[in-house]
Amino acid sequence: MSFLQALLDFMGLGGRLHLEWISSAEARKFVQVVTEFTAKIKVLGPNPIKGWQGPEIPDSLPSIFEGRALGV
Amino acid sequence: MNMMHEIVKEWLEQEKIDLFIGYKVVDGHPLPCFFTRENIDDVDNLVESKARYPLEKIAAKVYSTHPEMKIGILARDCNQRALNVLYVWNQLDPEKIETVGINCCPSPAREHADCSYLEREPSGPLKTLIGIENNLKPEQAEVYSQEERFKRWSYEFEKCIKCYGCRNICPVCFCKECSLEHSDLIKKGELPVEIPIFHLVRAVHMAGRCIDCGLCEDACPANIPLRLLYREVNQITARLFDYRAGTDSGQSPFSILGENVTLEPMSL
Ligand code: SF4
Ligand code: SF4
Ligand code: SF4
Repeated sequence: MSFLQALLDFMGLGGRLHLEWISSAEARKFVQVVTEFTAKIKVLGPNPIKGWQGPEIPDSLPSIFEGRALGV
Repeated sequence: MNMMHEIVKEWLEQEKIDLFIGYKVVDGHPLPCFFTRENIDDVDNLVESKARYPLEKIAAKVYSTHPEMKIGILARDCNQRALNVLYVWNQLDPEKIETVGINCCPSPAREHADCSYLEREPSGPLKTLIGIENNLKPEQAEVYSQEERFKRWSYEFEKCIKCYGCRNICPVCFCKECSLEHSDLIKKGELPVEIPIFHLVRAVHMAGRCIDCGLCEDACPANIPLRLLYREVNQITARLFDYRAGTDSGQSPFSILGENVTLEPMSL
């Protein structure tokens, strides 16, 4: 796993980055890599960055929160 | 006058150093201060203090305009590690630096520690529920699923007010042109911050550089667990490149990041 892949994985964006060295002479390999990656991305679903709507704060905060600093 | 004062005075008088960077209490606050031969009696006001500033970053700034100057620095363990990184990246010349080591890094093995950094307060229930607790170890932040991780980190990153405090305080952030101010990457004056680009860029840049001093997290007004994030960066760097910034003396594996990396010091 590359450095960037490992870091994205830690942040919860694992598997969405594909790095591969392909020389211009390897057209067939290029097609194969892109096809595989496209299939993988379809399985993973839409990019969570686009879909993120802000934090999900529960409607009714449990009673343990009462009288305590919530912490941010 | 204590032993530290004697040493610093002696070094200044014997011209071993031209300048000493330490702390002095001003209006009740310990602040970084220059001590010089010309004003040698002021050395009596030098204190260890528990305050932490990147004194080596100040030294690198002085070095950029006065490369001939010999500089003494009050150095905790973290300052020492940062100095090592600055030497590796040619931001400072080890021949020009003398350090006075002080007692730090709280540990049961030491009687006392001159350091403001003690374990942070445990996070409150809201942060524990939807964010990332600052005191976690990187492995502990990996118990969440990918989706959960991204939600939690997004909650943290969204609080960022783009104050650049993390970069400004960081002893090993010294680029003349910082990518975090590159208009193609980060929009000026707009909030919320670009998620996760802003924090991802800085995290990537810390690979092979971050010496885990925690100053960035101390400085962050949004209480984002930056130290935890860069600890993971350090772990990946150690795993993939067998390199530990600040302790390994060799060139960083990331020193050839590309032609566009400017490594000249930027203004403080
Ligand atoms: S802990 Fe933060 S301030 Fe310290 S070296 Fe690492 S990134 Fe810089
Ligand atoms: S470009 Fe990266 S390493 Fe350089 S000052 Fe900015 S955040 Fe720090
Ligand atoms: S110190 Fe915190 S709030 Fe300021 S830019 Fe850095 S991460 Fe954002």
